[in-house]
Amino acid sequence: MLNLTRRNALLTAAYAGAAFGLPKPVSFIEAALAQKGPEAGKGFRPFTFGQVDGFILNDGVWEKPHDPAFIENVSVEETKAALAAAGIANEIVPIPFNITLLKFGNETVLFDAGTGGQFQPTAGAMIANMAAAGIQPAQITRVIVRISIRTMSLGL
Amino acid sequence: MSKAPDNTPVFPNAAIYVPSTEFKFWMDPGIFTKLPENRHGLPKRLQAMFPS
Repeated sequence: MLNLTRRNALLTAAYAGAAFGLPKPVSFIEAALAQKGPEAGKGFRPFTFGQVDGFILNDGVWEKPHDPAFIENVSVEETKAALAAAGIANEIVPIPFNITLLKFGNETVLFDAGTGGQFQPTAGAMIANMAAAGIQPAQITRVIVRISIRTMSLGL
Repeated sequence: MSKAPDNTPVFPNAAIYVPSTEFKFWMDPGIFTKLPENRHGLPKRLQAMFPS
């Protein structure tokens, strides 16, 4: 198991799309945000990686109120400016939940379990988005829980 | 796991992998003295659901 720090794990989740060479990972996040919550049935993006078929499944977004203690060494005003510069509505801090699914051989592997609809009212669409991608929960052969915080393990 | 108190596994055929440090932390019966009351929900459910 890789020795990921919490920060690296979060960055990995946020940028998994880019790492797998998706053409437009950002537009997917913007679509979820514009919806102000989960977009059940549309929030998934397929990709291929060698012999592996993959999907990024959106579970929704945490619309986190600004909190000066949340991001160290950066003020709320600086956070708002950075969001605005990226073209993202900055009334709240948007934290999208995107789960990677890989299919190869007889395996269907999920990386993190999502929030299970038990964390924020604006998240919990992963199972619906998985179904829209043609995959049922009973088909999952392995779940890799990277860190057992609520956003990643409540969906087990 | 579906919503408490049901806690039905969402992925009935899946093997679940957790880093050992994470597993030991959350499955430790002593965790309840380390975390504030409002953080007890998750470890309580994890300990009820998974073998230690």
